[in-house]
Amino acid sequence: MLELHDLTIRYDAGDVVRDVNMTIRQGEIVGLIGSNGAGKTSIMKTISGLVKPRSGRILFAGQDITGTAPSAVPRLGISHVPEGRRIFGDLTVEENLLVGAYRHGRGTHAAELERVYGLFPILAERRKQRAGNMSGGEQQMLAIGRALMARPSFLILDEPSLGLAPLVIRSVFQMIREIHREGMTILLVEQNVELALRHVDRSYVIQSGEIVLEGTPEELRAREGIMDAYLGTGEKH
Amino acid sequence: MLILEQWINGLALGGVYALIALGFTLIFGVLKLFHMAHGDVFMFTGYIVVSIVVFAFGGLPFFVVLLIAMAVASLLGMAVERVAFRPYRQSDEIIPLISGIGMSLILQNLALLIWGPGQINYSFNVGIGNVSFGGIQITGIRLVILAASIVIVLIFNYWLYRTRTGRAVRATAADPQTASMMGIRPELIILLTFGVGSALAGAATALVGALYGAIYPALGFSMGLKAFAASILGGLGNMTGAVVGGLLLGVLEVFTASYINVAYQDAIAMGIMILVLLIRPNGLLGKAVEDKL
Ligand SMILES: Nc1ncnc2c1ncn2[C@@H]1O[C@H](COP(=O)(O)OP(=O)(O)OP(=O)(O)O)[C@@H](O)[C@H]1O
Ligand SMILES: [Mg+2]
Repeated sequence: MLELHDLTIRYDAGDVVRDVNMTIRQGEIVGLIGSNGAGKTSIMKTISGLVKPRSGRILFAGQDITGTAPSAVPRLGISHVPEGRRIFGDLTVEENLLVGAYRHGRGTHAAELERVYGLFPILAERRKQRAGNMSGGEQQMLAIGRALMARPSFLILDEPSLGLAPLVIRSVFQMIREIHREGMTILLVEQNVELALRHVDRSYVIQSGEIVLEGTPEELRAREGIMDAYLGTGEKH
Repeated sequence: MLILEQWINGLALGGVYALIALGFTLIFGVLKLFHMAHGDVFMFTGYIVVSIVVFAFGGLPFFVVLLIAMAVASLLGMAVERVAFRPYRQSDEIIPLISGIGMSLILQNLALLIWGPGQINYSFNVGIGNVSFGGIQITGIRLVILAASIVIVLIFNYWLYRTRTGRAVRATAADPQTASMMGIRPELIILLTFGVGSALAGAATALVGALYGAIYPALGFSMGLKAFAASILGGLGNMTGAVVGGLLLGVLEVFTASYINVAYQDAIAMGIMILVLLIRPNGLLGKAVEDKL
């Protein structure tokens, strides 16, 4: 469904992502794990058109979408839950969701709202509340709900566990599972390796801008020594 | 009873300031930019409207004059954004500020060139005579100004807080990058913001025109200064603040003029603004800290 071919990303300081190749098939939930500054967010931003790649191609549903303007990406069926949630703090919860449905044009978007409120009842309770006043976990759910309002076929989640308490992480990931079960194709970025491996079908491991490993959670766990070396997770074992 | 009259006069004047300040603060909210030529858009619109309406057509109903002024200002404001601000979107923030000052000078000198340095006098017929009740006398013009500013502010408020486009404007003001990820085109929203913000100034042009019936090239500078003061007084980027700041400024000026001296009205209004800022650096309704994450 999504293919990255030899993707290279460069900022002023130099290449941060080099010749990355990735494939995510329809219905899969695929992880991208790697430590701080490995280049995960840069790849996600490139898929969303926020960053223009130096070279390489991005194919979505067989179509070359490299260099598409960010505002045109939701129309392709790709929704992106950005790192750090980036909810609109001064808008109400419901207004945030309605902005998520912007690409559908005018209307009440009652069906989409109902679906999101069904998945996240807490958002229905807080619908009239200022989004910035909610807890981190609630804001993460709002960010996911907002992305779902666009009715995507492909969902990018950039570190949904960031800054959340373990119990909250668990309920956020339960929801991600639920969304995946309903048929969503998901690309999940995580620094938390164990958490990611518990929830994905397959994962890529990125280190300093290069993909160094790829496989199912079992395959990756079997190569624990290498994983530790790449991810610096050794001290945790 | 005189005092009630003065309140109404002050609020009418304040309503006009509020309209200009609303546009100024809206543009600031979206672009984080002081639109230094906002007052000059107001002034230049005045010349165009006076030229086409009074001298070319004459006798148009005031409501139509108001709409023409809003349309002219809107187009002018969007042209200013394209010429003076869009090319510098990625530049350091001082650059569009200076470009705005340049645009202000260009509009003033263009007005000088086309219409000359002198004051032009004219009158718009608002179609309502003076009203008196319970011993007070209010000119029909002031009632029209008051009513028109209230209606325009309410419509604007509905647009910004209750419509899909208004939501997109507020989302873009908060976080343009994330807004673009929702399918919103920030460049379109910015253009629209200038269109709407300048239309509010255009409405003020027609209303002030009805009140004073005089225009001169430097009028834009003093009006821009008042919009600036009113926005800061209320809290930059805050819509309610702009209205409150504008009304306060208008009332202050009228009371200063009638109880102290008309010569001091600007000095006292600015003095009070400085005092307020000493006590509340973010304005009357401004937030102390941004709680964003
Ligand atoms: N806009 C930018 N300009 C210049 N350098 C950048 C920019 N964005 C990111 N970088 C650099 O690119 C590298 C990769 O950053 P990126 O945010 O993609 O990493 P990440 O894997 O998402 O890290 P984290 O896990 O901390 O979120 C880092 O060294 C970062 O400092
Ligand atoms: Mg990141």
